[in-house]
Amino acid sequence: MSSDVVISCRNVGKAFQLYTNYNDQLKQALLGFWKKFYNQHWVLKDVSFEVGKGERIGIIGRNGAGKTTLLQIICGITTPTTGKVAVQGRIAPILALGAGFDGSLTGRENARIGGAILGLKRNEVERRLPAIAEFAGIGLFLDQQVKYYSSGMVARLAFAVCAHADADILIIDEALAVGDEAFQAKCERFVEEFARAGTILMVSHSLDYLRAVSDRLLWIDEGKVRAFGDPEGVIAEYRAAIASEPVAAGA
Amino acid sequence: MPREGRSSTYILFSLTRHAPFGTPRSLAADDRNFDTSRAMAERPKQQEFNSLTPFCRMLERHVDGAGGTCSVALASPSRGVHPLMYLTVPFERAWHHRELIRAVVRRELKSRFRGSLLGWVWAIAAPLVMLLAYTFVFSIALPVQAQNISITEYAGNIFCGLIVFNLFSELAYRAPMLLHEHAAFVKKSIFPSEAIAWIASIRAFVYAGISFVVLLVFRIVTAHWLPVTIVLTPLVILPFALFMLGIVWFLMGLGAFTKDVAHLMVSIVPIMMFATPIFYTFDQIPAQFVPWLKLNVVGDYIDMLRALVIHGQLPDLLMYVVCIVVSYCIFISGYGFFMRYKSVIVDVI
Repeated sequence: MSSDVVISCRNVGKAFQLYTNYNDQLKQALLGFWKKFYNQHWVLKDVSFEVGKGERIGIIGRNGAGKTTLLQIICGITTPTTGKVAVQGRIAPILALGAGFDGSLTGRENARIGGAILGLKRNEVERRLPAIAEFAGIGLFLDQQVKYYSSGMVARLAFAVCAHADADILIIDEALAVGDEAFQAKCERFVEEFARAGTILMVSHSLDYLRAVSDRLLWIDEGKVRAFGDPEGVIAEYRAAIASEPVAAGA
Repeated sequence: MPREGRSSTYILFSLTRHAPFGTPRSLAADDRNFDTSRAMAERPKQQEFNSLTPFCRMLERHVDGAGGTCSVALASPSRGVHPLMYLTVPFERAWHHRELIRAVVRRELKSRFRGSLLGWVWAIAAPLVMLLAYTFVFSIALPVQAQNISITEYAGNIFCGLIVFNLFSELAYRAPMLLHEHAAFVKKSIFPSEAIAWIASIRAFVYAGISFVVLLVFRIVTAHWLPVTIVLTPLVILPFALFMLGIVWFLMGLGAFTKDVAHLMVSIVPIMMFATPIFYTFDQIPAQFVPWLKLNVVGDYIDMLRALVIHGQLPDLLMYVVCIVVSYCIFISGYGFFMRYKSVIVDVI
């Protein structure tokens, strides 16, 4: 593991504009110069951290804490409202289950397009298709349309494509939880091997999995970095925080 | 559009297989060799940024997500970038994404006829049927005085106009909803949303190309000759393609914010159809309206295409040059508009 900094976030903040009515958006467009029609909601506030090459970083946090937004910013899909992000290297993300897939195409064709999205040339993808097929392990379904896949199969295919994309940074957002035990084991082995040369960011709610797999854990709470460090310590803090919150009155 | 809260400058830059955009030579370099020493390039400081022209600032905010790449500071004068480079930015980005564009266009073309028995036969049969229908209607059912030109030539004129106009209307109708169609791609994968315009345009041009071939075959069969000027057709098609791309980018960007644009297009396009000389020529219009009609760029292109393909004459050179300049301006400004609001669009879709 070298100490080159691969991902660097400095004071990153992201705000979304929340409108109560649809008409308010139009009013904002027309009259926005004079009046504000939205509520500014800061999803990320002052997030700063650095990730070195070859590190395996797990990201944990409650739903709505801003984890996916942070990953979107790192991938370059959306821009931060404040702060700076610097990323060095090629990114292969899995941000949502089947996000880059077109249901009406077969798995094979989606793998080709997925490879093209990740920056591979057509003949490179062709050469890797057998390896991708073997890694995904979905058998003959590779030539069936993706709309007939189960969610686990979609996740396997997506991961297989990302795994063979020659990426420097792998970003996985809660999408692998649907894989079965055998696949989780395969992923763990792959992540270990990948981390020798590349960097991995994983979001997961499975704390034990992250404890086993990651070098450092990033805890995002309400848009801020609450802890960033050794997995055991961060998990203990996180669990303590959850335990100390009042249980919501439910049915 | 909401722009509050940008208190400080922000950059998003990342470097991948190719070096930062600011160094032109690096674009030609082999993708796999990139100079890590130039990797962590600094953005121009705030005061430099403010001194750039608005257009440069627009390009400066150009962010694109494919493969984690991003172009940064291509507008900073301190980097010694030649200003003329701005004019080719869209082409370079498209070339960079060529594999992706090719893959998606290929599957869109294949999937159109998936599930149909006759497949590609429809692509040829449909324009052919339309052409024969127009010939029939205008020659036998509705004999319109065709001004000393044969019926088949008149039908050819109409068909020529229809090829171009259908291209325009297909893209005008589709463009506002394109990003909504591809919402998952745009929000949740590192798909360069500006490439969607290239994909939609290439697909439309391929269909138009098939119709064009049908037209040529029709002309050969009926008139037994094709003018030599046909070889100049690409010189007219390319500027038109640029024009359509600019329009698609505008409509895509606007349509992402409000679906009213799509409804507006439903009203505007039929009016455009009457304002373009498809079923008539400029000679048949009273003289005081002709200059206004000539403002219609699509009509001018139809005129030029007809001149090259049907009549075998060279189009008016002045009109050609004006069309090229206007098309290129629309192309660049459409691209700039889209890239400027691209990051806001991602949040709004």
